[in-house]
Amino acid sequence: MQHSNNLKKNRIIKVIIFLFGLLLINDLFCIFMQPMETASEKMLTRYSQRSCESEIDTIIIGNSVTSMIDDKEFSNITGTHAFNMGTPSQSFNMSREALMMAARQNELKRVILMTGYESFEKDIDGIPERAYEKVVISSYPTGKRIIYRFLAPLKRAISQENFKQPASINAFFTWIDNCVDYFPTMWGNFVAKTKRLFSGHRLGEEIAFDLDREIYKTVNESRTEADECLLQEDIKRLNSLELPKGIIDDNALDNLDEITVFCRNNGIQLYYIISAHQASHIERYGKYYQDINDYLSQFMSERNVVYYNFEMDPFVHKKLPDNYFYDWEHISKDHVRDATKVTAEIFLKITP
Amino acid sequence: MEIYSLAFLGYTIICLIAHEIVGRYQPRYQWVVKLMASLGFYVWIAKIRVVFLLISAFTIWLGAGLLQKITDKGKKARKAEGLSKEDKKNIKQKTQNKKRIVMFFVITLNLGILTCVKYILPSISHTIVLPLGISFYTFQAVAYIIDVYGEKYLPQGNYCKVLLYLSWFPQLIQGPINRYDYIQKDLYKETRLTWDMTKYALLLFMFGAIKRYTVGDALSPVVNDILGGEWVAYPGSCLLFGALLYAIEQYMNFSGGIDMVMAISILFGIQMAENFRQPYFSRSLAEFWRRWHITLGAWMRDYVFYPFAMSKMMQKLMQFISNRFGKHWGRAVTGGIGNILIFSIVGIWHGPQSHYLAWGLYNGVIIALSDACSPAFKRLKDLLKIRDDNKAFVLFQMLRTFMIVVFAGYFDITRSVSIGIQCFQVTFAGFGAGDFAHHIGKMYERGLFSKKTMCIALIGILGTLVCSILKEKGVKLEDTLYRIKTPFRWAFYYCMIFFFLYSFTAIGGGAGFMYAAF
Repeated sequence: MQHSNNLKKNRIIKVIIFLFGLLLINDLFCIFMQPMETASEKMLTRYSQRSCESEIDTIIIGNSVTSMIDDKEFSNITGTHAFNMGTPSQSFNMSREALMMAARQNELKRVILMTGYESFEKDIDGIPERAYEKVVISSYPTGKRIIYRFLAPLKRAISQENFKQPASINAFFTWIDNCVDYFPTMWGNFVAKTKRLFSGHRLGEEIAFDLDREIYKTVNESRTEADECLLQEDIKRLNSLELPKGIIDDNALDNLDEITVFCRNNGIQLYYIISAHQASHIERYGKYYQDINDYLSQFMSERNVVYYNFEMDPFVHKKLPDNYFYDWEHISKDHVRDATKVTAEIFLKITP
Repeated sequence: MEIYSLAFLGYTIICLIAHEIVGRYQPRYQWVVKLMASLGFYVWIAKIRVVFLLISAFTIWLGAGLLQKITDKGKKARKAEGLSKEDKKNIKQKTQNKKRIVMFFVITLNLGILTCVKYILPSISHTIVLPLGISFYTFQAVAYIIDVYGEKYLPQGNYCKVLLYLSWFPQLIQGPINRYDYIQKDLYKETRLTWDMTKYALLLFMFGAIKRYTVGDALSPVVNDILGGEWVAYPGSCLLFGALLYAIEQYMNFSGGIDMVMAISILFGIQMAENFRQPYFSRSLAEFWRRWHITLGAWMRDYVFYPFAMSKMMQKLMQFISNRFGKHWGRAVTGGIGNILIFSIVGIWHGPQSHYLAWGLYNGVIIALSDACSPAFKRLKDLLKIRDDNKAFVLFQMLRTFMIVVFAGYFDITRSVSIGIQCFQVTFAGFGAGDFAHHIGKMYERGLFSKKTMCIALIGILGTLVCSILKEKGVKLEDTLYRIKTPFRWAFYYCMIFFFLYSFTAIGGGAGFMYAAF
């Protein structure tokens, strides 16, 4: 009996030590393989700082094209308290999470959703990195308590899309979906994280996009050869599609619709803006461009959403000429101020 | 649903806890927990389609009960005093006839449901969803009723226990096709989870998961691109490469899945029938089919091949050919017809498309031909003075069998028979070895695979190959592992776990199990 009890005790201790080892190795993987901060984490760090300073009444959501708006400048011009929650490749689903999170903490009056038509082309929610970021946003504020370390992955694990998939277990190993495994970068991660630990420095002073990267600073470089090939391929592909279904992904449209419903139910005025692009961008859609615009315009007016297409406004093209862009859809850092002014002016003009 | 998912594993853990609690206080009701777990799972996944399962179980329970009654009545009647030999023979004949009618009715009903749901309805409407594991449990039901008819064992009197035999939830996802006499003791016995059982089950699960996810999922996009298109778009070298990868993918996906469900079953004290025994080490195609999907092969052998070969018509045919051409040809021709029939059925079992039938015929014909030509091969071997245990010859036989299986992929994964035939043509008439690198490079550029996915898959394949060689040599891997000192053993476990997890950074996972919809 005594021997059997001892054996049991030994086995329990063994299991605990084994699991502890597993957690430890998992932490090592997190340290080396997870980027220092994802765009969403950066955005949220900045959001928590801004929330402390003042009440936010306007948020800007959408994908990387929202980098054209400097929210402080925008607030100054429009007299709002705006905050830019846009992150690269933010899907409508993620935008909705960001909106819901912000609405829980602030009395929102206005939401500016800004994307290009590319957001309708495919549902990017299936990409693991997006799924990870979605949880990061929806779990905010996570706090530092150890329980949150478990709760955020749990939320992802039991979500409808993951529950029956391997992702439901992998969610607890956060480095799987949020991973860099290029060795120099892994080492850089480790160094940066260690430095941050000892210096107490917090990131998030800048906008979610890493606009300090050299490529973003480049003005007037326009499209590269590779971009040009991609464009031609896209044009060919688009010519073989039927509109609007061929281009407008049903899931994306459903998620967009949910944003409109949320805003309507919560008394928030939604503005949906198709961002500024280089003039040549319209080529990509050719004859279909007008169809998509008409389709979305009607879709939005049925839902009482203010819809505005920068690409079809000559004023925008005049104020934001092609050489202000570093590619066909992103404004270069040096011209963010100009783009913000244009956006603010139009915003004031279209506000009901 | 994926086995490696919170939904499945969470459900399993809850059921296991309930199983253990009941095992502690009311062990004789543990089988009820298993039944509830199985039915709960079935309803969760298949919803209303559980009705098909309930009907199947009911028909075989009722049919088996009836068969037993008829048998008992016949025996009793024959024991009555004053009966002549002739009377007894007549009673036996009548009893047999009645039993045959019952068996025929039950089998027709069950196979009728399978045919209707799997073949007829989907051809009418594409929205029909197959009841989970219908092929597996129907085959089990048929085996049960035939065995009771043959008085191999007594029928189970409790309907719920019969239902458990058909619905045991780990087997429904992937198979194997368990026999009642093999599994019934484990299904209904009182059992408790032991340390050794748990350790072994977790290890087996991990091995299975690595095979299934790290290799199976990594290879699938390339295979589908090369062989899954609407036309043949690659030179023969690429097609052969695709078929080779498909053979590996299929084995990894299927055997990995089986390992995982076996592990789950072991946790409940149930040892399911073995379904794979290192099939790619087979020296002939016939041997391959005795090592690959063993339970399906055994089912076909016992319930189709033998009854067919033993039928009066085939016996007469064998006699006729034996008299004219000798014993070998009598056996080879009838056996060959039986094999072609069996593999045609196996082909159709995979799906109602003609390419599956072609795949079945390909296998059946090759086995029949190799059987027919075996004396010639033997003479050639003797002439060349090759011994059966010659290592080089054994290796040659293994490679030859493997290549036959690889080529079978042309009919299995392609969309139609004509594409399959084209693949053969292109492989032999337009091999295009020089273009191989170019096409593979294009696939790489299109993102069908990356260096990382291929490295991960290669490690998984090599690991499986080493394990298979050791198993083939009779080494019990788990025992060998348990003998290693704890720190090294744990290091191995950690490596396995994190290699498996790391593979998901490159491979999406969740492509589904190949046989889940069967």
